[in-house]
Amino acid sequence: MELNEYVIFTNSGLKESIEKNLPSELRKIFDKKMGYFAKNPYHPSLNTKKCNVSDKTLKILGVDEVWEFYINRREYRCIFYTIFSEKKIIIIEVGNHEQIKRKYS
Amino acid sequence: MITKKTKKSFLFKIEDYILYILNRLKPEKSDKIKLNKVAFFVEFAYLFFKGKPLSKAQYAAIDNGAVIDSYDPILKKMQKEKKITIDGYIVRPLKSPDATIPEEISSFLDPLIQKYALLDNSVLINLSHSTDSYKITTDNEKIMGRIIDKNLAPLETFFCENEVVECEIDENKLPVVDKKKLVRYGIK
Repeated sequence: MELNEYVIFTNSGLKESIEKNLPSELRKIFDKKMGYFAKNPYHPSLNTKKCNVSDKTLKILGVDEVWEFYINRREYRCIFYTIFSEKKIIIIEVGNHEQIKRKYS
Repeated sequence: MITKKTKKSFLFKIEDYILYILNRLKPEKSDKIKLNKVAFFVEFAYLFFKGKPLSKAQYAAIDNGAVIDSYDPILKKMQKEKKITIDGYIVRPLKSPDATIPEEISSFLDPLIQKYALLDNSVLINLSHSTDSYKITTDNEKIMGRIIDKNLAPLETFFCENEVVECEIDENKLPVVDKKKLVRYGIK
């Protein structure tokens, strides 16, 4: 997979919640990590993991892959989609482990 | 008038930090490589978990991994002041740190010093090469000698690698995004 020079998107509501929910020091780390990710998804600082999602679900979602990385320790993580043909990374959630677990598992 | 006193964070002077570590290394394992690597890992772990610096030391990214910046002249000065002895690579303390180290600091540092001091020097060098801080500073070992930014310490997720939880997502709950409502995320 080649994700160089991908552009990062989110929906406007989530953008506000990232700004609101992430403590400022984590926001800086998050921005730094997204910057690394946009250039190189295998950047050593990311420990990025591809989530195991079936082709059927990916088709429904209209995306190619689902990923996650930890922003800080195990508390805060970021989940995002990638769309190869449009060179897009779409952040779908940022939150601590409990918040995300409650929402997605 | 009521004045509010704020508790000042403890910060090691470089020489005290070196003496603190050397006093906790076994004589047969007390060498320059061990000292430098333990100093780096312990300080970056402290930064990672506590979010503040531990010492006034800066760390440089060289071929041998992360080291205390200008450690050689610092050690020579300490030798001249009879704080340490140097015999080739072996460095031993002759004194304890001047400052009194708070209990909450030493209780955090001592197990970490013990942990990293147990590792062979080659393992410590490899481990420091694999840190994000080192890789970013050297641009994957292309540029050597730069100072490692202490602000990179929060990226070192390996300090809690045993705690990392695998991706646990119920794919049926993943949201379908409305592509028309996407906004570009600006990285500051």
